[in-house]
Amino acid sequence: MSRTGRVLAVVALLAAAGGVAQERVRLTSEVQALGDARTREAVMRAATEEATARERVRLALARARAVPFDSAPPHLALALADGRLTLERGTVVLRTMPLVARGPAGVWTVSASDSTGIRIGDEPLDLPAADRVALALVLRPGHRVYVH
Amino acid sequence: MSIDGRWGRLRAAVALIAAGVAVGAQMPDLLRLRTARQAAVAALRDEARGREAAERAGQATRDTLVALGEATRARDSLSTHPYLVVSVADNRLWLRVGDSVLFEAPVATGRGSSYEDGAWRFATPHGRLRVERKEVEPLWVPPDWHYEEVAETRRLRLVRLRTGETIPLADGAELRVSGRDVVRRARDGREVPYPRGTEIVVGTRLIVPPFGTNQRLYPDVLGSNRLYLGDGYGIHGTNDPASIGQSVTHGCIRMRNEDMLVLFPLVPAGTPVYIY
Repeated sequence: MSRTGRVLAVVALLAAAGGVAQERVRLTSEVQALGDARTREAVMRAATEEATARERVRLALARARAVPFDSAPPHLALALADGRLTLERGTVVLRTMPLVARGPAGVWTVSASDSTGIRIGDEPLDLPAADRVALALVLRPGHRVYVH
Repeated sequence: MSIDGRWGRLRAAVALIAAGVAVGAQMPDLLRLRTARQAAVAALRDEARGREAAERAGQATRDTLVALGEATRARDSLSTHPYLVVSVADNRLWLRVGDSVLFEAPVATGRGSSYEDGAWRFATPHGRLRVERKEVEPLWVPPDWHYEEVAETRRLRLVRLRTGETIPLADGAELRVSGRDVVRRARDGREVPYPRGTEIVVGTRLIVPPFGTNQRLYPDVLGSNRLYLGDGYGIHGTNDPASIGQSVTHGCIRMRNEDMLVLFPLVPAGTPVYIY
């Protein structure tokens, strides 16, 4: 092979190596971008699913509120964003109480209710005595609590 | 061939081999990256589909929520019309529209005890009632238990006066019903009606006037206004403002007169009253 031929062969191989390296960088960047996009989608999906879960609680609450007073059992509705707990029966709001709670959102049931306190599962509701007494007259274990 | 020529070929061969190795070494990485890219595209597509499905589910839930809310509002007027709520535990009343409070006030409610071995129970009824009618300057018609209580407190003997009957008095006069009044009829035939709203006590006897007579009508006891709830129960003012905030009534819901004057025009007849 002539000297020129050898030089051209080396240059061609070096160019190929450079092209492969460039392709590698491009693919690495693309895979990274796709991963980032997937992460963003996953975050949006999680937020959408969380919002939908809250909407489902609101829907369950709306269904409870749609029942006429006379046939509706009493229930509690806790609006996390407003820090407001309401005692309701059907459409009727019987009592509104401020209550700061962190959730979680969902449909729960009253596990205990007497003048010493109202419990949802193992969690006691942190309420003033007057509210506890008034709620205990109305709420029974098994009544629903809508946290949204 | 010169030594220089051999070195030149050797260098060229080494350079070619090195470049070939450099290209070859990157090929597995390249293949791995291409596979990873395909996997990342598929994963992104799956995630996007999942998000879109979640959005559709959320939208369906919101649509159902809106439809249910509209159906409930159309069927139930409570979101647009006022209703009253009374907490017996708190002795408190609220006037609400939807979940907004328009007015609230302390009240007095039933004492919850029984009288005469359970013949009367002085409790405010729980559940749903409604304002049957609105009364201005209402007159109280005391039930029999009022006279029983007064007789017991003042150690008097209860005597029921019936229309057509007379009760002889010590001075020869007599007590009887004349027209719509309970009167004291002197021996000369002159009749003097007893005033409204006072107990008729003759010696040690407490006279119970019959229903329908003016002496069975007590002004001022119920304050300026009453929202009548039926079955003898009502929301009314009072002549005993110190009792407000306590469980002391015979079942009615008592308010301060000034609160009643605010509430009364805001509550139309037919307004639901929810007591718990």
